[in-house]
Amino acid sequence: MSPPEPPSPAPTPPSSPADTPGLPPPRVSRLSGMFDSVRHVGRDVVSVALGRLFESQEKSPLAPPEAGEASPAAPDAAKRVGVLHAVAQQLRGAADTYVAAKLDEIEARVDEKLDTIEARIDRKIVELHEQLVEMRDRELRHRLRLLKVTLIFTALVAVLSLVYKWVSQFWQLP
Amino acid sequence: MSRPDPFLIYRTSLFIALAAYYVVTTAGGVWRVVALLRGSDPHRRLLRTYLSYQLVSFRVRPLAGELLQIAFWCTILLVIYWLHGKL
Repeated sequence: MSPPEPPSPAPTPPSSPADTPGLPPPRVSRLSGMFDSVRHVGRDVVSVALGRLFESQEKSPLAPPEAGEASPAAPDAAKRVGVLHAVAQQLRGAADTYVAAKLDEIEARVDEKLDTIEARIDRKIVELHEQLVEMRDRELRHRLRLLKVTLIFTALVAVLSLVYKWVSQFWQLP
Repeated sequence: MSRPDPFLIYRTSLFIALAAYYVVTTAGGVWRVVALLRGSDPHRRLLRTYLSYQLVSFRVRPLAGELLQIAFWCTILLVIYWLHGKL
């Protein structure tokens, strides 16, 4: 797992961890939908905030005068508004990129945690399986030992019976 | 009327008691296993699948020593039975 990439001012942010090299393949889960919705909400919040900032700048005393009004400061105000608009656009793009990068970073961390938990569960299952196999072999060995003891005593009784039969026949001969 | 042989009585009664014990114990064990595995809920199904896997993956090699001894004692028993017939 690669470390989370820092926020870059690229105009098109990475939409998923698969777009960035070193990140795990995309996981189709409920988390993806949740992250998408959070990403949209973050973009909307940033857009609304910057839009309000832009509107307040337009309504400020530095805003350009109404059409038809001849004012010597009109070109400067229009120029200032244009600059503010460009800055707002850049800020919006940077904020979007930053939010997307942070969300991707969180998603990558959650994926890493999930992979760790999954690997731990797999190890535990393998360990339990090995314990069960060992218990099965031990139980079978115990049962076979009991069967062997039973067979030994049965053979002893059979030998005793054979000896008794032979002795009884020997004593009946005369 | 001849007097009954006490050893034959002992031998026959021992055989009957052990045979009855074996039949009752084995039937009870089989019934318990069947009752444990019967059912269509997912846990029972998983248990049946896992036991099937255990049966398939069973290896005789770790128990070869015990099995060989049991085979030896079974052979001894057969020989003694044959000797009983000879006498």
